[in-house]
Amino acid sequence: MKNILKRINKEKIFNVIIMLIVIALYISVALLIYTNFRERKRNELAGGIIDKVDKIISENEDQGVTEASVKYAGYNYTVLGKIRIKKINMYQPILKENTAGAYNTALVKMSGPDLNENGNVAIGGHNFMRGNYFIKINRLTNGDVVTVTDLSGRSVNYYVYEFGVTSKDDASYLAQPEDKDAKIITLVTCTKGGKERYIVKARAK
Amino acid sequence: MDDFDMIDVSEDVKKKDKFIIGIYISLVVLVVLGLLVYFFGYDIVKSYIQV
Repeated sequence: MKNILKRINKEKIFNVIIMLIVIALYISVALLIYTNFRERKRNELAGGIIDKVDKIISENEDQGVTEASVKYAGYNYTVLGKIRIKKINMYQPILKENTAGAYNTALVKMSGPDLNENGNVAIGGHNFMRGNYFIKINRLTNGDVVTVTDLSGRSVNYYVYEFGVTSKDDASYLAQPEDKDAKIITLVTCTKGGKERYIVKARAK
Repeated sequence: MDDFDMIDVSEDVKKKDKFIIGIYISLVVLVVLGLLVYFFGYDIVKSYIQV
């Protein structure tokens, strides 16, 4: 009888463990699907904003427009232009709003002058699990091309000359260059769970 | 081993079988439901998803 009780207890524990594993599987699948849907929505939003940017460019070509408001899928953003990095297959709009929502949607201008003007423009972006954004910027090396297009339709090619990791407290990468004629773009993303920043600097020739 | 022990064991085996079948069914439901939601659920829920 003792043995039976012991066996029943063991089996009960085993059953509870199996049930917990099944529940954990349900939760994991739900989370995976939710993450995937969120990613799809972000990509859809970014694509929709890019279309709006293209429309603005075609309407305002060479008119010196630096920013414009766009409304897409219930979201309102101020767009500044778009960025393309062929090597890592990245094509994203650049937003003005420095908010969590904007960072979740596209890339954001952190500091600096207007796009494609002289000076150092810093552009920040997340690096999500599967998203476009800046997840692959650590593959960029010297000489790789970053193309920035502003709302006047002016595209400037920037060539990577510096990249690496820096502390999150180090803001020296935001500094303006000594050469007043230099056009620099600095791509910034988090690394090591936000404890450090991965920086890529590119200069127009 | 007496008769009671034998009855206990057979009931236990039946219960165990039911439990295992339940687990199999829930896993199949998980796979089917997961695939359905993954491929057809996005358009339905996208307006509720916050980026």
